[in-house]
Amino acid sequence: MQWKEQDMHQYIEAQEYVDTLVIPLIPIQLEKPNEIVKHAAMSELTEYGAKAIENQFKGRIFLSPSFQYFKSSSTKLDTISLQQWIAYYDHLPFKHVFLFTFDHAWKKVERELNASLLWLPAISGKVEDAKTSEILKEQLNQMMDLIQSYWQE
Amino acid sequence: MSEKKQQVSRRQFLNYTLTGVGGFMAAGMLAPMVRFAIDPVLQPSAQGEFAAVAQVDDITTEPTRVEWTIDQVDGWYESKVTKTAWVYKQEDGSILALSPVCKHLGCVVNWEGNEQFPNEFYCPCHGGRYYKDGVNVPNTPPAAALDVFQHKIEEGTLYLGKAEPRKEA
Repeated sequence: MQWKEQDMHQYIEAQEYVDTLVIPLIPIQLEKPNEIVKHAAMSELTEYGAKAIENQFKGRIFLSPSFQYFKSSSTKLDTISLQQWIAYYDHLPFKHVFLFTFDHAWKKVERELNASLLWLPAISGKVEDAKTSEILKEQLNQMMDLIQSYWQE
Repeated sequence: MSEKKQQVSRRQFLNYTLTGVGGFMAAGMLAPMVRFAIDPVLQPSAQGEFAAVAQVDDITTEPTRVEWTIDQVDGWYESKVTKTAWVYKQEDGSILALSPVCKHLGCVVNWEGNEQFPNEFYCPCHGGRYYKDGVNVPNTPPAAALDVFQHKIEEGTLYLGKAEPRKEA
């Protein structure tokens, strides 16, 4: 379910079935011209992928609004803010909390976060291109298998 | 019986003329307005809603996933939406196109999605199950059968329209 009026009517009715939270992580980077495009593409992929996962598992996944962060070379990743987000959702009965990202920088700080990191390597090319979308679909299918394996524990 | 010749007075003549010309002009102005006002009602709504998804000859008795894209307009927001269906030939040769959206909470079901339940549709979210004809297996979460797409066949091509709830048997 998405953070949308229509979905929330359903969420209120069926809360006990929605035990999994997905937070997409969206980077913003406008300093280095050679990286701007890359990061914008990464954001698009993340949003597209998050929606695809939500669409597949609508009845069990709550898709959080995206966590957006500035990514400059001088500052460290804002793990404290993200941890606050996760802590807020912790009050609610979500059994599984996933962070969805194409940014490998999060992989290094994974241990500081109280959630499972779903990281996919970014692929170049637009989502609209047939070849790119084929690769992305395959990646997402594997990611969805992974999410299901968490459910079977 | 009056044999008196009907006289049209100057006043009457002007009245008739002005009413006639005025009425004609008013009608000329109002007609397009009325047409614009009711225009959406006159639009053929069914047109364009059917999409070509597969060749009939390629369809077997095994449910296969077909995908197509439609332009969806939600209020002011336009987007491309990918729709999917499970399509197969029934025993009598007719085609059945089932919506993959689980009637429990809207997840996407898969054909033989769970090894324990062969020959069934399976919903990975809460273990919802459906028989091959889309009817929900009793005592699993879904309370209704999978929706069925309207379909038509033209020159060997299968077209799918809207998904509709299945009529109670």
